[in-house]
Formats: sequence, C-alpha cells, structure tokens
Amino acid sequence: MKITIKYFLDFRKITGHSKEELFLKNCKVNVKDVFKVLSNKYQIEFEKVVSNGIVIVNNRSINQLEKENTILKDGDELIIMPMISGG
Amino acid sequence: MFSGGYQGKYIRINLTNKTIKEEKINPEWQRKFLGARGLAARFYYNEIGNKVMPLSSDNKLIFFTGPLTGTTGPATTKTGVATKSPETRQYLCSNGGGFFGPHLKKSGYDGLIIEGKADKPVYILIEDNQIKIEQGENLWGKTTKEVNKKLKEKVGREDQVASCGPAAENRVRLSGIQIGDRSFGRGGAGAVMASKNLKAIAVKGTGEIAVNEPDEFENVVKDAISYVRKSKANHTKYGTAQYTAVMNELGCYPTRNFQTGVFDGIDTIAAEYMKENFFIKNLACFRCPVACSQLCEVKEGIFKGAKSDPEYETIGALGAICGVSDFAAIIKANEICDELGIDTISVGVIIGFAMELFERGYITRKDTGGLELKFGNGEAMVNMIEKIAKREDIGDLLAEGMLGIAEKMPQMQKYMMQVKGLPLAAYDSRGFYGNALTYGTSSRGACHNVGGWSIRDELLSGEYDRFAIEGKGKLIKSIQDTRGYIDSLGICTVVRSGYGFTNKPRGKVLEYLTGYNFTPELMTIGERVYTLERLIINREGRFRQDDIIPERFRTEKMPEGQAKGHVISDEMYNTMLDEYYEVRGWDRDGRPTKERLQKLSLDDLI
Repeated sequence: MKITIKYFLDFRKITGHSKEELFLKNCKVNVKDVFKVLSNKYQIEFEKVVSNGIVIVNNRSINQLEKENTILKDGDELIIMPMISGG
Repeated sequence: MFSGGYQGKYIRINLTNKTIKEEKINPEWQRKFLGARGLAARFYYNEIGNKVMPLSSDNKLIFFTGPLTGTTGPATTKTGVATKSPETRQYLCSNGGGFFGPHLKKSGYDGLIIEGKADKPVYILIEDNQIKIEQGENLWGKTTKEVNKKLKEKVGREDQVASCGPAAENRVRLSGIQIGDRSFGRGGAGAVMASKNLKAIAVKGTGEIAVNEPDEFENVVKDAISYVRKSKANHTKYGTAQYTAVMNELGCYPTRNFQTGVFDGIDTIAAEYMKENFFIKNLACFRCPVACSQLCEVKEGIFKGAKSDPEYETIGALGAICGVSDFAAIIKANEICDELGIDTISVGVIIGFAMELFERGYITRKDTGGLELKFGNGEAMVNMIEKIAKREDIGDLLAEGMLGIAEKMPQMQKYMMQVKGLPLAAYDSRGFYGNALTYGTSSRGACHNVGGWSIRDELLSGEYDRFAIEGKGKLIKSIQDTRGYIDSLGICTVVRSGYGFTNKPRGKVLEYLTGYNFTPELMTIGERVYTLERLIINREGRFRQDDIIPERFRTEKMPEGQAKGHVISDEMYNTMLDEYYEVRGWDRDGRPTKERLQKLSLDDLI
C-alpha cells in the first residue's frame, strides 16, 4: 500500500523532504507502524519527536481518531507538523 | 486592597480645555475587571454613551495597562485601548505591545483617558509625573515612523511613542495607532486620535512598580521565561508566519477574497521562504524572550529597500486574500501600512473585496485610477493602499470601511467578508466550524483573538471535530473568557501558558505581585469582561441579527482542499449560536439575562 506523507517546518529539516511516499508491504498498518519505518529511515526516534507535534490523517488529527493506533489504508495522506498555538 | 502591580491612579487629559488631572481608580473595579481590556471596557461603559459619534470630540481614547504590564515577567508589554470605532461604529477594544504601556506604568499611572479635541495639532509628553500637552503642528502630515523617530529623541525608544499617521489625519476608518513596530491595529483608533488633533503620545517612566512578594515573584518569572523560551522556539524561529503553509494545507487559508481555502502561490509566502530570502533579525517587545517579530527586507526588484515584519494575519490579508504570492509586495505593503498608519488586516480584506469586484466587472480602471486591480497584482495592491490613505479614486470609498462601502454599494454585500463591520482574519470558517462562532460573536466584530482562537482545540482536542457543530458554543465561550482575562493582565497571549494562564488558571504569580488571590477568579473575570462588552454592544444596538457570518460561508461550498464541499448553512450556524447563547446565559436575542448578570456581579449595570 502507498501512504503519502507531508512534512512542515521542523519536520522538513529532520527528513529533508516536504513530501514523500511510503510503499508498505503489510496491508494492515497503523500510524505507529509508519513512525517505526520513519525512525529506521531517519535514525531518529520519530514517535518521540512527533509527540510535540501534530499528526493528521487525511483531514483529521489522530487525536480525533484512534491516536497512534489509527489504521491507515492505501492512498491515505499523513501530515506531520509542529504544535500550533495562538498568537 | 493591592500591595503591588497597580499604581492606583490614571491621567485624564481634556484636549479642549487643556486640563490634565490625576484621578484614583476604584480598586473594586480592578478586582472585578483586572486592568487593560477589562478596565478600559468598564470606563467605556460609564463614559462613552450611545449618542457619541466615533469621530466627534465626545469620543474618548481610554488606555489601560494590566497588573503585569511593565513588571519583570516575560512579555509584560500590553496595553488595552477602548474607544468607539469609526470602522464598526460600536465599541472597540484593541491591544498594543512595544514599550509604551510599561513606560506609562513606570511613570506612575495605570492608564490614560483622552477626551475633547485640541484646537490645533498637539502631542502629549509624559515623563514620570510631568505631563505636558505640546505643540505638534510640525508633526502633522508626517508618517508614524517619522513621528516616532522624532519623539524618540525625547523619550528614548520609538516604541515608547504611540502615534497616528497620515491615513488617520484623512479620517481613514481603518487607521491604527502605531507603537514602533507594533500597533493598536484594528478598528480605527488612529482616526479617533487624529480627530482630536492628537498626533502622538510619548512616554518615559523611570519609577518602580511595587511587588507584594518580590522573591517569590522573581522565582515564578524565571520559570516562566525558561518555559516560554523552550515552548515557543518556533515563534522565535518563524514568528506567527509558521502557520501560513499549515493553514493552507488544512484547507482554511482564505484565498482571493475567501473564494477558496487553498492558495496555489503558497510556497513563496510560507515562513521558510520568508526566512531564506528576506529575514534580517528578530524584534522583541518589552521583556519578551520570544521576540517573534521577524524583520524582513526586500533586497532587489521594484520594492527594493522595503522593510517590515509581516505577521501571519498580515501575510494572509495582503497575500492570499489578494491572491498575491510576491512576498516582496507583502513586505512593501506592510511597510506602508505601518508608516501611513493603516490596519493591515482590514485593508487587505477590503482590497481583496475590491479585486473581486474588479474581476467581476462591477468596478473598472476608471474607478481605480487606472490600476489593474486584479487578484495577484502586488503592485496594484500597494498602490491601492496609498490611494486609500490619501482617499483618491475608489480609495476614498474603501477608506470608509465595510459599513461605509455597504451603504454605497448594498448589492455588493455578498462579497464582503466582515462581521459587524470588521473584516475577517485569515481563517476560513468552512475548515473549522467553531471559527464561525468566533467571528460571529466576537464583541468587536470579526476577530480571531477577541472572538476566541479555536483552531488548536478544534484540530487537536479529542472532544471536538472541526467539521461538526456539536459543542462549539461551549468551546468558543471558554476560549473567549480565557482571552478576556489574559487581555486584561497586560501580557502577550503568546507567553500565557508560561504563567499558567489557560482555561484552568494555576500558579501564584498574581498573588505574589498584587497580594490578592486573583487566580481562582480569573475565568469568572474573563466571563465578566466578555459579558460587560456584550452589555455595551447591546446598548449600541447589536443583537442576534448582527451575530451573523458572511453569506459566502453560508451559501458557497468550499471548492477544494481538506474542507472541500463544506459550507455552514443557516441552520447549522443557528444551532451553534443557540448553544452559545445558552452556555453564556444570554436570551435568544443575545442579551445577557438578569440571573447571569447577578451571578457575575454585574447587576449594578442593569
């Protein structure tokens, strides 16, 4: 299955990409599994780094879904961005 | 009642009679309304009645600091001003940063009320308890930058000076008051100032602000500074511009007068592009460890040499809303707005509206003085700001603000993105339904701050779905009340969590400062401030029919992006509004009930 990931600000620096596509063999994949793949790829504890940020699957935050256990399907889009606060 | 944080008195200056008085503040008012926005609203309630016209000598400028303003805490920079707005023709609150408020407080005063009208241009000079009304004819006609630079010689820094610009002198209803690089931007307070023949207020305070328990206060301050430095690192790195690309991705970045929520020119107005191509240095307000302001300079092209510090809202209004992807044009437009003294949000949204009329053929080059006022034309946008400031061609009408334009072009109201006469900020409610209530119920007209910035809660809280109406009344009330007390403290909202100021206030900083245990009462104070503002605008004729969102949000589906297909129908909006009124304890027409006023100890105002 194919997952598209878009990165913003700090996460662009960490990965060196604004967007990438992940091709995963397993058909039952959740957000946590994607973090594991990214941790291996970028040699950084992705789950820990993302805990200070926001993860969106399609158009909803994972907080409104099943958090890191949110199941992904082929063609889903993940957005990873820093935390937002008013100003 | 208080042993720190307050000076207990304010200055009242009547420019007609040239009288300067020192008056005491009722400490009970400070206990109930804290300071800054809350206290200024309380004075407004008593002193600015229904019949007062915004640009008449009867209107007043009511400035108040908060208990934290000018202390050693992080970003204790803010001052609130209340006045009747020339742009919305109703109550206006606006807050400004820089060093103006801290110096006012250190000069021995919590506030300053200006009334009447001078017979010729003047400025006010406050040096501790020496207060003078000085001849200002030589400053009239000058830009805010020129005035602030000139008066810097007297007080020390440009941001100790609050001045109005040439736009205000021309009674442009969108004109703000400039404090160095910061401003009391929204609602036209600058035009009120100029209508009094008052060009500037320069302040230098060298006194002390008493602290009830200095050691404990300093310990809390140290922790707050270190927390804020860490947690707001991205504000230091990118400023509020960090949200530009994010909001676009979320599909709620207003583009071409809110016709869509996705801007195809996003890459060249995003924070990273700004940093790489234009950034010079950070600028900080008083005692701010964050320094979120990003000073930028244009290095080449027709806008070469332009310098300004565009914020998220400015980039939205003068960028995507006008379809402009040329960041150099945004820097230039921001620079001239600051120098001429115009609110960047209002002017951007009004020009975006005019661009839509131009593209639809309702106005032509004859109206614009030859400008090809199409979306994306940055040069035309910059020129139109100058025309508005000088009231040339259609700029004369646009200078009247949304309400003035609606009177002349009633059939064009469907393209006007405003509530209660105040243009919207850079969020499209079709991507965050609660944001519709934010705009609709904000006491000063469409405002993302006073109305309650709901984006984070709607996006992240497991409790709310951003595309649902359920619970949004309760959410928006809570955010508005939180903001109501924070704006009354004299600090910048960016640092609030460092002090423990959230919707569940904690910590003891106010007790250490004032000797009074404010913290458990803060949310009630916030609600009291918001309800007082509602009483004021009810008195000014604003009710349910005015708590309405623009037609575009109610009838046009978002065409693309993450919010594609979303629209907020009248039925959906009214359901949210009913819930909001219910949790606020207001009746169905949007009037606070007697019971709620009693609960908030506001029954003396019935």
